[in-house]
Amino acid sequence: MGISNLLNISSQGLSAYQQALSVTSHNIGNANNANYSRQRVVMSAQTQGSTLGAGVKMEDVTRVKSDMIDSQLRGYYSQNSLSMKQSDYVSQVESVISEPGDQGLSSMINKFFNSWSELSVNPSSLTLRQNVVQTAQQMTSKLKTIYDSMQQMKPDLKTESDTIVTSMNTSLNTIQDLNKQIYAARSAGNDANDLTDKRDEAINGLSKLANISVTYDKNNTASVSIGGVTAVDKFSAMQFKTSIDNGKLNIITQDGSSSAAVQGGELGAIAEVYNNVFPRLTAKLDETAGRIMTRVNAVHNAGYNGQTPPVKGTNFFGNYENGSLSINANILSDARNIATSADGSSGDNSIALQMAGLSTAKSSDGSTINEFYSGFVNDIATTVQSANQSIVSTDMAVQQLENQKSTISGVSVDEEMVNILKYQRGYDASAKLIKVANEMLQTLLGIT
Amino acid sequence: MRIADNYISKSFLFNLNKSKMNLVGLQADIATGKTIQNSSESPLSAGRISRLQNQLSNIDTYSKNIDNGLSYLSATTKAMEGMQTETQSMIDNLTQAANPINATNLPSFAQKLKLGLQAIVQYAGTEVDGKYVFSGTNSSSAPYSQNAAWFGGAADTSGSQSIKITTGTEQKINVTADELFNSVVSQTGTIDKASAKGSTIQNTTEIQDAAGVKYSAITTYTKTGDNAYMMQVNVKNSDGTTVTSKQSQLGFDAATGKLTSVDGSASRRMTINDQSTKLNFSIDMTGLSESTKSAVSTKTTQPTNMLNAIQSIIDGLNQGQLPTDAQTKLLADLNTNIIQKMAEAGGVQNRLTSTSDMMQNQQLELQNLLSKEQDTDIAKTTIEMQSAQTTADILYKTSAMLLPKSLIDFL
Repeated sequence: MGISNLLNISSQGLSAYQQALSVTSHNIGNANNANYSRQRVVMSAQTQGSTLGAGVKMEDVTRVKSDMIDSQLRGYYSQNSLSMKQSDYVSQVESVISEPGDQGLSSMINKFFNSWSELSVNPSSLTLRQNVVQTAQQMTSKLKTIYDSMQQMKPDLKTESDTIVTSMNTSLNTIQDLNKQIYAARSAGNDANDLTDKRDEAINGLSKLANISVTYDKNNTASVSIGGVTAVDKFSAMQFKTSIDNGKLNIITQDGSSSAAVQGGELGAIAEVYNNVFPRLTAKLDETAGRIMTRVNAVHNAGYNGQTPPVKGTNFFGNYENGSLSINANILSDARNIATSADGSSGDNSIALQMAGLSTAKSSDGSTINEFYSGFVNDIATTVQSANQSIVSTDMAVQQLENQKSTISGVSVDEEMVNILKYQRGYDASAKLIKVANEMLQTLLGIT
Repeated sequence: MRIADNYISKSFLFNLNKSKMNLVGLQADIATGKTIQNSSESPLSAGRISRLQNQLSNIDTYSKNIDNGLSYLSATTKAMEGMQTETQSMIDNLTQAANPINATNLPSFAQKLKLGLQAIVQYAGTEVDGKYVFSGTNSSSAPYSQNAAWFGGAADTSGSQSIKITTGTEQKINVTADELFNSVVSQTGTIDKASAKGSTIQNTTEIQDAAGVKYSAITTYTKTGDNAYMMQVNVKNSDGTTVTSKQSQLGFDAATGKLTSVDGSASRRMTINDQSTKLNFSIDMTGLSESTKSAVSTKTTQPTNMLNAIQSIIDGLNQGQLPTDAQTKLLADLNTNIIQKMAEAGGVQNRLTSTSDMMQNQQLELQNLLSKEQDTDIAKTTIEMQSAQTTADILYKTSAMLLPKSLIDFL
């Protein structure tokens, strides 16, 4: 081995440490980039066919990451987004129902039946009759407000799902593009670490929109499926759209050939609220209104009103449609049309008493009107509570997994500073070796 | 374990967010005074709060009903006190009139009784909040006309006025003129719906005319068709001679068996009002229905219309006749009956008062429960908030010390 070899080894050392410092500075530059995976320089000894060493070379620059944590994170992102969006929408209804409190429908139903109890004390009192009309109006108005709060949210849900699907389609195109770029870079022998980070960022973003499944092939190209439908297959991407069929919100492919079973992410939440939660709540509200109308009308119909002569056989409520429980127009215009008497005499209050008794009367399922309504309130409350609890637990899980990811993939400036010192010293030593080789050559040249 | 820079900042933000959420929650509890802002915070508590609030609202209504009932009963009792005073005074006057010394002053006693009768009729017309308290459910009309010479044509004063005083409990608060003065024969029981057409059932009740003479009122139900009967009332004197009679057609509901019409109307009464025989009584069939067996019993409020009986005494005195023993007994019975009804009204007043007291206790208990369920313990929450604030401050301080530091600061 000649002295010139020392110069070669030094030169390779300088080059390797320079590149290592470059990777380290890239890491430091991205220390606060949440989507960045730290890169590590893999150095190896240069061999020269014999046992004698030939210096150092930079073997590779690798991304430090855990696929398992990434996969788990995507699952929790999906659950977390689902719960947050579901909580957002159902909480809006919860704020409208104003329970528990004086402004809640439960209190208004109670006040309505209590107004009958008060009327029974003096059935001929026009003031007490007006009070019955007033409490009925408050009750029906609240009923309508609750119903509308759900119905008016449905177009919003559709609009938001359209926006999310657009965003989802963009992400799918991005993933497809990055797949191509990563493949090209790797084919050219370059590392594609930063492109892979970008693709991971897009995939993570997608997991917040819907439930996805991701697989990678040997060339590190990603295939993504959404709700069982292939969305990105290496270099091609599918596009999606929303559709309403039989009152159900569906996410289908642009050509309509496949329907995605979206059960996670923001889209999953919107579909769940649109297709299941609101219809279930609306049905319960309709049933509450139906029970009020049927029972009140049955009693009212059997009674005589306060007109002269008294008239029998009128309904208190007109009909119920789309959340509107209408009060008999004749009663609204003249409260004397309220029936309080079973025999037509002015002082008979038996119908008013029967009406007051409806508040505690049980139906075939063993519940009073208010108890049935409290089932509706409880449904909303438990839906929001369960979503909120899920937010807390998935937040914790996401936090823990992100911390774990950070311990593996995150950049530690301290660690990078140590690496800088290490590589700087390596670079200094390589430079020193050149000086030593040079001095050796000078010595040899001095002999002659 | 490696600690990346992101790890520290993310942990700080996560913990800071948790700390702030805790502070916001405690602040809302203090600001609103309630621990439950939305039902989702605790569906179980929300349901309980709602039930307690509704129970309190019910108690409010029941309390109002009781207050109204008490004022109604107070007016009723005062009127009955007046009636009783007048009746007692009549009895005293009759005792004096019976003294031979006063034989020439009978018209003067008649005048006193006339004034007493007018006072009783006036008391019977007592109104509370626009309702005639003794008129039963026909509360928009006075039970009797002032200065009437005959009270037989009076309006139907039957029917109870009940109020709801607790969940599932109604209390009758009125005393009717029927109970005090009128003669009403209640027919209660069932008629066999399977009985053959033309078959009959019969019952007999003793009644009196205004002068206290006894008669038998024989009521006969004859089946005329499906769910249809003819009711015949024959009033016979002690000789067995029919002095007056009347008949009505009754219709029953085929499904429920309830009486639906008397002579085509919704009224459940037939009234015998014969001034020539001084007979005035009503047959009330509210308690009559059609069923699988025949069993009808009768009950009478008064043997005759008491006001007509007093008028009859007055007429006698004006004609120089002292009242008969039967007439004097009628007056004494009236006095006893009024006292009895006063006692009953007093009993109802006591019941309403004790229910009201019970309601107040219940209200306090419910308010206490509601308070425990939803009210913020300000002292406890303030301390919790102070503690949370301290934690947040420490978090800020330690993070401010830790976050900007790296090896660069020491190289």
